[in-house]
Amino acid sequence: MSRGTVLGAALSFGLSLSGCKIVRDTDKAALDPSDPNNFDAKAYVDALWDRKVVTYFDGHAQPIASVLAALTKDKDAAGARFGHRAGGDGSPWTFAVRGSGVVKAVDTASRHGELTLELTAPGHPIAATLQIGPVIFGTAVRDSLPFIAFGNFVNQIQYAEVSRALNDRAVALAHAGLTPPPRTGSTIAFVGAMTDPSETGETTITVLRVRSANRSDK
Amino acid sequence: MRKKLATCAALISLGFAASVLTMPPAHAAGKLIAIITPSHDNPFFASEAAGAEARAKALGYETLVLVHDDDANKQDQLIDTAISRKAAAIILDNAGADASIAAVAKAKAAGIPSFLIDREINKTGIAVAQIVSNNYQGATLGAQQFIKDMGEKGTYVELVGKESDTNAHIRSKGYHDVLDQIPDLKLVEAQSANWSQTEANSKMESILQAHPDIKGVISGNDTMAMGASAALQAAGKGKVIVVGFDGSNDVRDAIESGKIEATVLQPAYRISQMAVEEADAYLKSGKSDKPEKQSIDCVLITPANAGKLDNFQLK
Repeated sequence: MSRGTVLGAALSFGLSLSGCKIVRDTDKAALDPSDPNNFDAKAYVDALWDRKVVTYFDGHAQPIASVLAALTKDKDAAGARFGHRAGGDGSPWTFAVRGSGVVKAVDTASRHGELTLELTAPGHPIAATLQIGPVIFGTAVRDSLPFIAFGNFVNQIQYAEVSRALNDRAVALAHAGLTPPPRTGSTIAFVGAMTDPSETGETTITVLRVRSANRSDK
Repeated sequence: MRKKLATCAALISLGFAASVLTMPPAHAAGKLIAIITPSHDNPFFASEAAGAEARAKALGYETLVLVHDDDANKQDQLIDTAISRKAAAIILDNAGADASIAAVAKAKAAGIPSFLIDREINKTGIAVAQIVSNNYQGATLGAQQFIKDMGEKGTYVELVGKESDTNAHIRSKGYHDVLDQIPDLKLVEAQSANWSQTEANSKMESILQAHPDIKGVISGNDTMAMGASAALQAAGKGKVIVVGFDGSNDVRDAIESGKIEATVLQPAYRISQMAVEEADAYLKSGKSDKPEKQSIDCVLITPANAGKLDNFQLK
């Protein structure tokens, strides 16, 4: 890809998404994850968000039904094929996923808002929960990105701050498709991040994109 | 950025090559592994030392088990001891993220690779491995359970760990990233009790004088949770939600008897065994095929699974 194309892509993302930040050369220390004194997780994530994070999810998100089916057969094979393991052998597989489903319940009363979905998948119905914020739990967004590695950061604090900043951007991006919240019984499509559900027994997705989907999309 | 990373990688690999080259043959053939941790008074450190010792002996090493009592000067002397005993490798739970950098560098200069467990140091490229619990993930699990048990409202106290330990900050951060977003949860006091049970007990007693009606205590580790719980019992407080961090047998028993609601298991035993295995592989091959920084996920412990917990492992 030529520099012009990259610039064009970056510009068009910049135009289509609000909150894009221009980073000057003097702010470079803020973007260096190995600099404990000047690193700014929010600036770091702002610099990566449109150019790398959103493009990664849009380009690499795997059909959730395929990922879940593969996980039930062989966890490590599914992880190696579709996912990423951020902390080495002791951490769970994490996946960028896309899919659709029928909204079964909407909880916006809790700060940790959730949509309960029945996923559009072959065979028996699969229940899943979409975290819609404003409070998001977990580090699935960060952990599914192969270009953000623990080893690049001074310590766990900077690494955690990056996760928090990514979650904030994910909630903000997903917000457009969640205003007003989808109605029970409607069908929605989503792109998001998922940690291996066998870790918690629940299929939970942190969403970046949500939109209403026609039944013909199924 | 890419250039910087490449330079960084080159420096690290140079560092590795240098340590291999300068390692005298006697060391490479050495059979002693030094295991240095904070005081075993805290069962967490006792368990990780036991895990490392058991794995090292099973792999045919002799072991030298030492405690630095969170004193960086004492740690420095223990590193000297390991060097003079010609240890082949050091398994270290260190005495401070900044204060320990020089000690690990000294061991490296003497040709002894260090494998850090539980706590990080604020520098990469001098230890071969830094294997930590995913403290942030664990803290958010504990905070989520705390919110649930508190019913998303009420006043609470936070007991924070030792200032020099990155883990104290990261757990507090994990707690606050979740709790601060719940508008009806109010933090009335946050104090450090330095990971200590007795200190947490006396701090909790005085906090209760000022805030007799608190509804919850979230603690950066299990020994402080035990100290707080004892103070709450002694003051005759009814239902106060207490959540800890570590997964000790003491807190497991307190969860089963309803005095503490939850804790977060750090797989301490497993982490120290991994460190020994990686040391063994490194001593045999002269290199490590794992990233220096490794993080192992924690597990939430509630009444539902407390019965399966024993010595920092789920059965």
